[in-house]
Amino acid sequence: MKTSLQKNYHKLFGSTFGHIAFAAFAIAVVSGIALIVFYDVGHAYDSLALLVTANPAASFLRGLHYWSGQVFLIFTLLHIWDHLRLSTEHKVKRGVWLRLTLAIAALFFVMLSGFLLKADSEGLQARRILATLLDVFGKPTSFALLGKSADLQVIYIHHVATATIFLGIVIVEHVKLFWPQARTTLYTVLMVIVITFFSPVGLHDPLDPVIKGPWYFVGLQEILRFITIPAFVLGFLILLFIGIYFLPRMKTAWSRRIKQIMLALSLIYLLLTLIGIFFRGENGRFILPWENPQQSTVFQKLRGVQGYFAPMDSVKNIPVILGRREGCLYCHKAPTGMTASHDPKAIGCASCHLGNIFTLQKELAHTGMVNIPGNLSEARRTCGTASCHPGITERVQLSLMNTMSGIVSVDRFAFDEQAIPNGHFNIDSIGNSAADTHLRNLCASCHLGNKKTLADPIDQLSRGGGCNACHLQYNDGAQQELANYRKDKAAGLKIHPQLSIKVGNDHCFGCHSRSGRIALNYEGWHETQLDSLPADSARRLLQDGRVLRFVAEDVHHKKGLVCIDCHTSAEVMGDGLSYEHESAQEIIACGDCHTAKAPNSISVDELDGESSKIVHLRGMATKGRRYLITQKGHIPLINTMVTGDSAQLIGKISAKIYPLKPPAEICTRGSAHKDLSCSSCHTAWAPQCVGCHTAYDPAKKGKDHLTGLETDGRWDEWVGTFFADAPTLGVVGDSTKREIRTFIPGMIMTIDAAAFPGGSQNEIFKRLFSPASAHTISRKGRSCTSCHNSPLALGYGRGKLSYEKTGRSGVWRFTPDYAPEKHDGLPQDAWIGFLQDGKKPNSTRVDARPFNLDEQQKILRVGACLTCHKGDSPEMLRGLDDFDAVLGDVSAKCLLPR
Amino acid sequence: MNEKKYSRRKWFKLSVQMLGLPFLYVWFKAMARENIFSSKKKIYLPKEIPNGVIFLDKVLLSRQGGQVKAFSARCTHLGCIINHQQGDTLICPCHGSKFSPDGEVLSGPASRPLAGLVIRTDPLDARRFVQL
Repeated sequence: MKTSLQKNYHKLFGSTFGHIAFAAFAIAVVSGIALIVFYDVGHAYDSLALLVTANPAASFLRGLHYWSGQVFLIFTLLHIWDHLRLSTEHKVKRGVWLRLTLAIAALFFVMLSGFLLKADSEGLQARRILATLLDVFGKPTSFALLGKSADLQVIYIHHVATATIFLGIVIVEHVKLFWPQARTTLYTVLMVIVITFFSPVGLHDPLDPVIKGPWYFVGLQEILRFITIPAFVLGFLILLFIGIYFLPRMKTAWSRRIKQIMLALSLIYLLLTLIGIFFRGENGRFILPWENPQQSTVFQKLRGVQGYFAPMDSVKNIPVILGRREGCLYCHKAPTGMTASHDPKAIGCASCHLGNIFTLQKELAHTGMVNIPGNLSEARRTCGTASCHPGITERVQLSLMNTMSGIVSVDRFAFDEQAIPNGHFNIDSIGNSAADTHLRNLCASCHLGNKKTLADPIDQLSRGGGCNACHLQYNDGAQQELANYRKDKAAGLKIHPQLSIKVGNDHCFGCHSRSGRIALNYEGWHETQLDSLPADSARRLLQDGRVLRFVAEDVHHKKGLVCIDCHTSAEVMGDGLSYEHESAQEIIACGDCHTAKAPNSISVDELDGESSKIVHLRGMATKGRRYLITQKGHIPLINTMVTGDSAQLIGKISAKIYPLKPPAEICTRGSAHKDLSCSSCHTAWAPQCVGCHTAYDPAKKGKDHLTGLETDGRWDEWVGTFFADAPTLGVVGDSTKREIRTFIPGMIMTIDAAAFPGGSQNEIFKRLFSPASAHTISRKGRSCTSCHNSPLALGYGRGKLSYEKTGRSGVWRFTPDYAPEKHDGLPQDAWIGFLQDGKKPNSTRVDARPFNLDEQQKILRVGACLTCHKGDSPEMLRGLDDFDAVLGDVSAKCLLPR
Repeated sequence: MNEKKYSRRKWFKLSVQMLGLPFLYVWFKAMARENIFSSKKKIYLPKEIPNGVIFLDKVLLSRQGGQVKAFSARCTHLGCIINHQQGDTLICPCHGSKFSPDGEVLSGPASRPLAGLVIRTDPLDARRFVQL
């Protein structure tokens, strides 16, 4: 024979589920009456925020009220389940059973109304859901139970009076006692006090994007994610209540079957509740509990106890920020230094730094705080919350500065770990192969997702740092304040560094002074192999010890333009798409600003949301203003201004106005150079290296720049020779469309992985050139002979290229400066053999290649003409229009190549 | 005289049965009248509305190209206020319904598009507003 579980408990603890529930109800009523004084139904959320933040005793009372309510609900459900299990419903009179059934609905209403009365973002959304559900029975029903949508008065009255009185009457009638049992009440009070003490009840922060119902309805929230017509759920619940009401009148077999179904459904509901509580994040995203940043640990929860002991004597007012009390500003009184959009007076501290705003207790307030917001691992919760920059933080995650996809694929390709240098990768998830370890040791520090861990200004040594990598600005005051703070932390930080959209070149310098070294090139500096700075004003020493020599700066740098004057946010922070290589993410082209045709433009009224916000912030949004748009992607260049057929660019930092000039007539003349990119002629020089070597040394200590940990063994690189010469030219595209671009040796390198565990025992040799924009644009283009008669431009390497005339024709001869490489027999600095097709693989891109033999011969045929005719001679200029026609008119003196 | 005796309990039952429905009828009528007093609120639109979506209280303003549209921010599934956007997608924070900036349902549980609101112009100061 079945025995009542509660009777077993009774033997153990001297009480039953029902009596514990009754005692908890009594505690909830008493604590609720005590709370009436503190709760302002007209300013519900604010009154509770003040209570939680600055009234520990009242907060404790609220905790008692909350937890006694939860105990009441849980033990009532256990009591019901125990009765149904024993089929004691047959012993209850029909009228009493009806009232008990209705009391279950009243129980959930009184619990839910308590949740709604918090009036935080979760409570307000729950109220809207409840109103919509009740509207199924007609508007007056929701109006009768919830009142006007603008206030909480009706819900409050029902919570404290209607539903509570009804429950009280039904309980007394059911239990047949007016007072709960003394001993049970004592135990329950003790239990609720202990729970309240160790688990204080907070409030939902309106900036927290995760919206969940009360725990007992989280399972319902899960179900509603899949139910298009909520009335079905409502209908099911009504059927459930009807089923419960008719249970005593059913035949035993039917009743047993229904109870079994109800038990199974309860278990499923419990499972859904657990999923909803632990596995759902923002917007219902499925997330593992240990990956959920919002999920506080048991230790963090226990720290809440400290809130009861915070000294409160002098607290008179707590500032209201974004409609909520923010305790942070009570102690950190209005730090200065921020721009208006990030001023703590406008957005508070917790919008960026998180933490607990509902306390004045230091340790508790700082629980869960993010000292340096902006690291990409936390950007969704800080910079990227709904009210701030949600779209941008998502785009940045996919941008190449974060994924480094191209670097990963090219490195693996160089190490013979993949067949082609393509693929979508994220450096965060690379493995531990030879190539991946090489990346971890030497390249991964520049990964934007690398955490910034120190509150320092961005300098030449900075790497990674998420949003801060670009937007963090320390002015002199903030820097001094930081220095003072490090000497004496008690003084606190009163001047905050800025977050600014005026991103200077110094923010790009750290990473972009490496690899292609565009940050150095742009300013005119070329890296030397010196290890100390000689007494020479034309040289410069970097923080990392590298010595630079001055060559020639980019014309845009000379005029005062910074990186962000050309490079748009969609290029730098990504446009939300995943790209394989930087060239695919790149948008800006020379022709966007320097166009011979009427410029493509867009009006201020047609700008997208982000551009519009930025032009307003930068003061570049005058009525009727038009902006240039890029040819690729039609992205507005918000720092331009189009008037008729002319356009101007305005420096984003300098505010200086630059007229945008069309290309020179020679650039667009004829069709001979139609495939040439602007940079092919206007790139003054590019850094180049030959004879590089990389090897793994298992005996040395290295660093894994993804984990920040020291490693046993490391990859080292040695460079052969550095040059600052005019770039080699090559082709990007396919048979249908090609463009002549500038190339540099991506790697002419030997790789020794013999000592790497499982690495290739044969030395790998790679001769791969990369299409590259050196950022050394000169106003004057390179001469005709610097391409047509240059072995370096054609890919043969440095040396003497001469045209020997014999008889009625001529022949080209080449004498290289460098000895043949042992691996492929080509001169060390060459891309291809003299008048040969390039051997594959020859480039770090699948769509890039050196000139083929036919193209080389065509270029050299013009080169042969240039040995006698100047580039600006009428014959050669005619050749730009129709070179074949010029060839048809050659005189007998002209000796063309064989 | 044959006097029929009613117990207090019986008298109450009879009273509830006789007066319950008329009472509810009058109460519901009163509430319907009270609803009239809850007049709609005017929400003024900003002067300049850039392309994209703006969350304005319980109103969504969407501008794609030249045309500005206004929608109620209430999710058509269960009435939660939509206050979040991921890329070009508006997402209900409660049950995850997704809408396009044109108010169309991209994925459920919602099945109906967001309710469009008429943009009116105030004759006094030419400011644009919607009523909600």
